[in-house]
Amino acid sequence: MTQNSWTQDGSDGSAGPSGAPPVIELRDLEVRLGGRQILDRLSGSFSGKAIGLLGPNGAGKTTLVHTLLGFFSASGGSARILGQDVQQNSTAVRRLVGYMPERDSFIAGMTGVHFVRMMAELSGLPPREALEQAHEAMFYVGLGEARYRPVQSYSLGMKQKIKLAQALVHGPRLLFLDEPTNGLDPPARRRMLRLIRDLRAHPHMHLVFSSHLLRDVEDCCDEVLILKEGRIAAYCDLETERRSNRSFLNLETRGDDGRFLEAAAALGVECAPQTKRRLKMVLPEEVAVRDLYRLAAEHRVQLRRLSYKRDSLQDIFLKAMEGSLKPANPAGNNGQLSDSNQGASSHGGA
Amino acid sequence: MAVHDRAYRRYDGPLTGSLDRFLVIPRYALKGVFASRLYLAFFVLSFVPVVFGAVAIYVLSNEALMQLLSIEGPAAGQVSIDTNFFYYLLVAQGFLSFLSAVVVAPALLAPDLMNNALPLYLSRPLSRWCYLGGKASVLMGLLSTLTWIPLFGLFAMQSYAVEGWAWDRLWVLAAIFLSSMLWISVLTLMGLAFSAWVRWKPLARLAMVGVFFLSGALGQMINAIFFGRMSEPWGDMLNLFVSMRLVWRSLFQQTIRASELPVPYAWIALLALCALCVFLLSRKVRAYEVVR
Repeated sequence: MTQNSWTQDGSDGSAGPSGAPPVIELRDLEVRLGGRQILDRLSGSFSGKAIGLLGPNGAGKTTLVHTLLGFFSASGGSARILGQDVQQNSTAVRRLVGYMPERDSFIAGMTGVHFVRMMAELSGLPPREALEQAHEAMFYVGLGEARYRPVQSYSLGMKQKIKLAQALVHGPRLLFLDEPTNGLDPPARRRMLRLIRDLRAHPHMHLVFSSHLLRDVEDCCDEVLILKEGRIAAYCDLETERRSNRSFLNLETRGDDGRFLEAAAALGVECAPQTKRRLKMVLPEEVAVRDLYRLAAEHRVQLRRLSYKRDSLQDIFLKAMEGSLKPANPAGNNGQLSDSNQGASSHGGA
Repeated sequence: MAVHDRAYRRYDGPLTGSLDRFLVIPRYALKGVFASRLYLAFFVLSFVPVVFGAVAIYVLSNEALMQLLSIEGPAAGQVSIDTNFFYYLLVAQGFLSFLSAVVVAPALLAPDLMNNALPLYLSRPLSRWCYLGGKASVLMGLLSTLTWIPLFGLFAMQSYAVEGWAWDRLWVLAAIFLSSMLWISVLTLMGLAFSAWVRWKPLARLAMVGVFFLSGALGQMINAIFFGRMSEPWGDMLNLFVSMRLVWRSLFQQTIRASELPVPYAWIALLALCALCVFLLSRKVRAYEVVR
């Protein structure tokens, strides 16, 4: 379950409802590179298990990840990971995180298991434990049989896997995945997404998933941050979105549906006839779709079509890119969505 | 957990300290360096002058052996264990350490930069200066093993062989150490800078050799062009070998002629070169380059 806490005033971002600090907390974060403003006063606090970073090329996704990893210095504002300031406590932050870079990254002249072992030792694991963890990580990502092959001889899919292995070998609490499915064929992509979902389910693991593939993000994440030109264009709580999507239905009926509609309304279902025999319904939480089937059978109404009214991540993304999802703060305080407005952004198309 | 169990198990055991983490880089790098048998053979052969030095000390301090070998009279005085002995041995070892640096240095950073490995290193609790320090320590360790460490051993050997010999010459230890460290620093920083900027190893090696010899030629050319018009041979500031030899000779208390470059300028030239290399490394060794 996600616990996002967007703040309108950039409040101190103290511990969330569970008492734990937010996974990522941004406060007016600005980054300038090469004389150009790349990130522009980003603010927000995220505590989801898997946070998706979406945006077109050049939106600032990778820069945000690199800034959180301490590769780039903030020119203004601050960022915290699990309560640690990324600029002031970069060593402490790097103990907590794992990073799977977008580009091919490896150390030449090493076998897979030695490469992962070295990465584990650099993260502070004693040599013996590092070797054990390296073997486990290699098996976990599916490279068990290729452990003793030189890394440079790996295929693209294997290189993606070993990047994941080195990122999680030391047991990070937050895993940054930068375009993890890049260049993978469909079966390899499915396997990678399965691994990511499995990692998400781990109780001590949080993920930041940066991608331009909406479907991958939708599959794996429960919060999504959409960036555009270095600013937060939209925020979407996918868990809430999924729950709300389950309540919106489109139906096509045959037969006399008057009594069916009355009976449904008696259950608390909101009905809005669109055209003849086409209905739009909003189900209350306690009513399930099977209740509608039961009512339809009782009133001899055929349900010829039933579909969820789905406001997909793609819809949300496109609206964000078109600018129809406005940040809450009219002063343009860069996407600091208030709690009241958050629903509007999430359900924009509903 | 058995390795066939593919569930993710988070490591939550004890962690090593920062020194252990720092030493991971040189440990793995040295493994890579000595994986080459050719280099291993060269490294072992680099101790030949030291072995000759040790034999000389042993023979010259052993009168019975000298008599047995019929080394006596004026011949015995041709080789003496004094300041010059250590100076010339350091020159020989310095040249061999230069060759070692040419072989090893370009392989230290270039592969990491070519394969984008820096983000992997720097996303761990390791700063880029620690990373550079770890890589530099490989060269510093290797070159120390070739220069001041064996010479200290020979000094100790001579001190043991000839009673009272060392007390008047303790400053030679400082001269050996300072001379070696200056040379090692220059070679290390230059080697790493070339490795960072010239990512193709053979070219980086060639460039490193070229800079030493071309800088010498350039320095001599400047001296020749401005001969008689310059109060000092300023061109020698560009000649790395000459500058280094001047500093060494001054440290070993040898005579510096008035026609030579003043020693402080030789120091300035070498330290400026080191500073330039540090600057070049700081520009290149980053997790990601910023394209302007």
